[in-house]
Amino acid sequence: MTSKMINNTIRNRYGKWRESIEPRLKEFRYTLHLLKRSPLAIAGMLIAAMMVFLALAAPWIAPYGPEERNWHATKLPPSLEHPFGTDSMGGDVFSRVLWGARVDLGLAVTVVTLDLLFGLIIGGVSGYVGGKWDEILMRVTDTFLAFPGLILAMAVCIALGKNLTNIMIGLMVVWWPSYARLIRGQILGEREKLYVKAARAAGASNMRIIFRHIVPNSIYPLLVTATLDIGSVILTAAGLSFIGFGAEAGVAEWGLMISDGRAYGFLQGSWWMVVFPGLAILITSLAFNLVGDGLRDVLDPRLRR
Amino acid sequence: MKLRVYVMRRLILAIPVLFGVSVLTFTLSHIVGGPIGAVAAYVRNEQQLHNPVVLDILIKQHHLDRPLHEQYYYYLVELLHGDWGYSRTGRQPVLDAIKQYFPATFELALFATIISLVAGVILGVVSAVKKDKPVDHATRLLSLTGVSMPVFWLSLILQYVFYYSLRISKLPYLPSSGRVDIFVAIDHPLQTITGLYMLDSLLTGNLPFLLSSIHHIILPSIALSFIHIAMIARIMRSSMLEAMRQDYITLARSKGLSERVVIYRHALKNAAIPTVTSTGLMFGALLCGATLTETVFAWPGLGKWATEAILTTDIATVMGFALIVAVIYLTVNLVVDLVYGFFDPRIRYG
Repeated sequence: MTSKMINNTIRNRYGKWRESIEPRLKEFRYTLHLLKRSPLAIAGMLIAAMMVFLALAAPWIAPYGPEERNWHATKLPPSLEHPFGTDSMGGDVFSRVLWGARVDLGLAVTVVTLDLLFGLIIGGVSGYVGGKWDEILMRVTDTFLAFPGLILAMAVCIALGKNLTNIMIGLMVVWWPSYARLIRGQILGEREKLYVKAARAAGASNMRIIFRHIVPNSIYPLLVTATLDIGSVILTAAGLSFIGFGAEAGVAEWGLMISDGRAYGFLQGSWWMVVFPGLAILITSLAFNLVGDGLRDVLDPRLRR
Repeated sequence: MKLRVYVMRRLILAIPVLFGVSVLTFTLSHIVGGPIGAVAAYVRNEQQLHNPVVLDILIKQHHLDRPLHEQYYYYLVELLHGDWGYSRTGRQPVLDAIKQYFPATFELALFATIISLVAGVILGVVSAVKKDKPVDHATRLLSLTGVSMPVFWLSLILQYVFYYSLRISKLPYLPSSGRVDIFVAIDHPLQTITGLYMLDSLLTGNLPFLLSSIHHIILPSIALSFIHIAMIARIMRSSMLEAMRQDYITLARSKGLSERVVIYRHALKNAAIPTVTSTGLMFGALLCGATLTETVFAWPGLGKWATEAILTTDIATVMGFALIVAVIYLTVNLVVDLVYGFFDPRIRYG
């Protein structure tokens, strides 16, 4: 086989692949087109993109390290040198907020992605196999949903030891049932549709039907929920850190920074230690909520076509 | 008759869930109970934790030397007999602690719900009526801000503005923590009837106490209601828009009714149902204690109690709290479903 032939085969394969996803791309472009008409969603996207950029670029743009201290410059109000002031241990709040974006965003994205996968498995089995398995899995999800989420996350965190990784595990344990429910619902809705019956008649395996047919067709509701959830996970994680679970002392994490600020002089006038990390949480969470909300409107079938 | 069957069925369906939660708490007590395991749930103080004699007695007393499935059986029996363990955080048996902290949480939940219901419905209706006008966009941004707001941060900001700033500028300020001013409580002690400070002080005519407790509930209930205002406004808006699209609205308009009557008498009534449901569920969630808000405002409710317990690995409290939350969750769900049928006679229970 010459390299030309290989090239041709690749081109053919690529062409076929392009053809097969063409309707999906068209759908996607149409969604983007609709999304462009919503100024709030655009703003959300820009801010979210900026936050992701700041998180990735923190090592190059933050003037100080995440745990760098200067004991001669504690609790300084905002100035040119320290735009967000300094904290009770002389850390530069501006730099720490930037480094915090890495911690909090990374955590939220990890939790949501892994839970989405886990929800796909549980919800997929539950919705598609049905029967006894559905009954058992749904009772288990009910139990987790009836259990107070924050408490469950804290308990997991205590059992495994208080640190960032374990709070992530705790949040995953709390969040998966809602995905399992959502995905089960989607699958129940799609399962009886004609295209699934056609695929089954053509001899497609269950796995293939779920992952090649049903999931791509119900991807948008999942996307909306996942986007909105990134905002909520950031809020919850920060809240847990705030009351003393999660990040270890000294880590540049937004919730912990607020908690430290509160403990060392917030109600004596040092507002900057609390205000700036809180604003970072609010803005990041708001950005993802704006995008998710915009997406939901755009994907509302009543408004579409 | 139908209704009774429905309620019975729901209650029976609640049993497996409660069962599951009790298995979870039982498991937790063995995992989190520390080196001495589940017996930590019955220990009265830190000294007893390290006293082998006391631990031995407790282990015998609560059958913790038996195989796991028997232990679970005895755990269930004790639960049903009202022995939920001893809350070291609350310095009293768990059930008594719940009785003490629940009224505080209830009061806060009620206030927050009322504020969010009133504000949320107004915002939702206005933005539905003025759809795509600036008011609508502003409301939308506001409600999304509410959903994205870290409540502990909002609480701190409220404290800074209404407590710290007002106080240092020698203006009248709002208290930042607690349920009632301690000096008021000393001068005018409250006779406890229900544990709800406002109701009790009203019943016994204790005016200073009433005023002080209203004073104290303002900031936490505002902080707590912020996110719920946002949620209610969004639900209200979308169900209003849905209602305004219906034929009976066109009919009402074509009859020549004024826009006011059309909106408030016809659309609002029909759009209220989803809001009622979500308000009910929200109230239920608030009854389980607002962990963060209660912590920031030192509000002695269920949420703060449970948080402190977890921080000190007080396993009995955590188990009791988880159970009571499950009970509240199931009860509220049932009540909301029943109320739903009351508001919408078309719903049949079957």
